[in-house]
Amino acid sequence: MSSPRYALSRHAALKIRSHGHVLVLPERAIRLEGSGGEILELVDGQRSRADIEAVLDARYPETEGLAQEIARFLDEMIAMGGVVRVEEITASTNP
Amino acid sequence: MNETTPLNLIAELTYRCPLQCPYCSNPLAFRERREALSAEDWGRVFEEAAALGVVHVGLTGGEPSARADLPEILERAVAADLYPHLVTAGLPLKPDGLSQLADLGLRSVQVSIQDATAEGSDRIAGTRSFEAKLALCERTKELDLALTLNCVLHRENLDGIDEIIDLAERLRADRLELANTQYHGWALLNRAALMPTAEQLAEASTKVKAAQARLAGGGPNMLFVLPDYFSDRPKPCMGGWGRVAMVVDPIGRVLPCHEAGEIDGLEFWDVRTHSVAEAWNEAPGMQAYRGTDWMPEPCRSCPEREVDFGGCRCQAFRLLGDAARTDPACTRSPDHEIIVAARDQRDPGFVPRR
Ligand code: SF4
Ligand code: SF4
Repeated sequence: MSSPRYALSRHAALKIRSHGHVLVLPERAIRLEGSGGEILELVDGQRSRADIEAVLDARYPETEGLAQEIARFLDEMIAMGGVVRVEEITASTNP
Repeated sequence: MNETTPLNLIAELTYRCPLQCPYCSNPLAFRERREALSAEDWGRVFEEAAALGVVHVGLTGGEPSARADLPEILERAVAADLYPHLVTAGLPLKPDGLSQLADLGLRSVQVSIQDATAEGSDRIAGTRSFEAKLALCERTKELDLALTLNCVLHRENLDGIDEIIDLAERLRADRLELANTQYHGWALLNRAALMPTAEQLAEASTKVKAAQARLAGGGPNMLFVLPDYFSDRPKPCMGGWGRVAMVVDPIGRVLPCHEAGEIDGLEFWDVRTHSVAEAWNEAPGMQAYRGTDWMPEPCRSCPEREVDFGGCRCQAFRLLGDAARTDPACTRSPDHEIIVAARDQRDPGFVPRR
């Protein structure tokens, strides 16, 4: 099985404003601090966690603990209902 | 970003509503006021609000679907990159109308019911509407939009809270708001008819906890908060005055909450004569109770002043005649006895909104 990809949950939306990124869920809006917004921009239903790490690693090569930060953030978002794991995408649904 | 960057816009499109709920938060004098903003005006409000930082818009009223141009208004909200949420009583909108709104980009829907049965709900609503509400809930789920079921609670329906929870489960609601009546607008007029007993509330709270445990993980996400009349502290009304939530009322005023326009002596600005940013940032009424500088004692030196912001200004105005006093719902308020006394004022029969 390939590693899971990450997507915004079906009722979630990411909005970008001059004051920063905001995750919007039905009847809830959550301001994203730190790298949260950048991570969510990469949560597109196509990328796995390793893919997201690779992009941010290239962007911030000197940063310590990036992988852990991404993992922690994604878990938090999943618990909150903003992000889902897309397990195997089979040939029939993704021709 | 600063302390007054709004995230939510509550767009009150109209005061019109086919129902007559006795706890309606609309102003008592709503009949004298005609809605003033065209779809085009709303479009401009949405664009300017988004530029200020707003991400989410609740299309509400009255009943928003009483406006024939609701689809056009929704389209403009989508075009402004807002997350559109519809707050409806379930009519006159029809399921096919909802499908049209979903095609235009609607994301989530809140349907209010008045009780768990057709008989109870229709009696409180004053109009046959329960079946229409259920049909709309079903279509919401078919369309894969997020569904919140909302029921305002009071003495007459609190005992049936289990049935309301069952209904939300059957409808596969994502959220269930069990909203205890807040005494504004018509609800204050009908307070003695709506006021629950402390025992009813305690029992309802136990039932909600049991249902949450039973559904653990599955089922609707339930929200039940004790009403401020029965808790020791006021609610952090709207997340603070002029802080995160912006209301634009049907006559075009930018307000910090639905009721604030009824406070005597406060000046709010109209979106037809001011930009949304000016009306939000600079109107004297918006500035009157922002932050903590305006606070009297006991709030001024209270460690909780950034938690509840001193409670509700409208409640202080309505009950004490002075919006700048501490919300009497707080046990630290010198006026708290009036809340305690109101808990025991009961009288049958309410005046429907008309
Ligand atoms: S509370 Fe009832 S009467 Fe008032 S707007 Fe809502 S549905 Fe209509
Ligand atoms: S005294 Fe004022 S700030 Fe303190 S808890 Fe009461 S209402 Fe809130």
